[in-house]
Amino acid sequence: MIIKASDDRFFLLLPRLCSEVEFLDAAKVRSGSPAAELASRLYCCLFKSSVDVVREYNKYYREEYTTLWKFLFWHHSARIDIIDRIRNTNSLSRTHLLYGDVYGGGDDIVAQYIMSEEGLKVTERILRKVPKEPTK
Amino acid sequence: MKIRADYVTNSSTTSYVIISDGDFSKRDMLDLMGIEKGSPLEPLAEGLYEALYDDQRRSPRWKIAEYYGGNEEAYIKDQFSEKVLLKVKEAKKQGKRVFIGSLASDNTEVESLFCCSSFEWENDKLYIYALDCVW
Repeated sequence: MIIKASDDRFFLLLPRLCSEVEFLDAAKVRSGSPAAELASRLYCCLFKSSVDVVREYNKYYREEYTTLWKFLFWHHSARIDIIDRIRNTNSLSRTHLLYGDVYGGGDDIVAQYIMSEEGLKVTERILRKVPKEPTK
Repeated sequence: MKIRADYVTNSSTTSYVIISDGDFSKRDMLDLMGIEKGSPLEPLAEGLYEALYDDQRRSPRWKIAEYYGGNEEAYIKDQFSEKVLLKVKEAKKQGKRVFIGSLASDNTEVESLFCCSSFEWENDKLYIYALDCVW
């Protein structure tokens, strides 16, 4: 699931981290095609500059913030309604929580599309098609 | 109604030349882009097709009429390239259709995505040249 946190920031809640190849497979694009190039750019915007915030919290900020939610609120300036959406996610303990700047990879054109109403839907549909288990 | 809350920039356009073996459909656009049936990216190809269709309905050829006396070949050579002109001439000899127009960044989100990109795609049915901004 992708949650838009601001005009340029997002959270990703994923059962597992996927590779670029798996992302392209989920996008159902022909290898080497214009759509494959576009899907690669989508992948880069989502994954290249995003961080695993649970890992970040546990490794560096556990002593500073008593809960992950306080860490998201104070450190990442996440809104309360967005934190509540994340908290209410099923099987959160088995979910990867990433936080990213969609413009962080430098592809402003695709980043802007991802954060649009339609772009979020398209991205969500791709992420849902990524297999829950790694493909061989 | 959408209200933009942050900064506003100038809009931009990208011109295109399309050569098609007859009319082309959304399915042809999906094939050209390499999008398989049921792909989450289908709305992108469909959005681009609709943007091109709408642009053609707006009759974007007025500048050719105004600045080039309606001489399409002179316009293509001057504003695109010799290579594109040769491709267009060859296509016309073969009875193919040629569409010229421009995409704008201030229309739909998909049109904006492709307007801000430069691309040249080709398969057996379609050729799209959109590397320049010439309007």
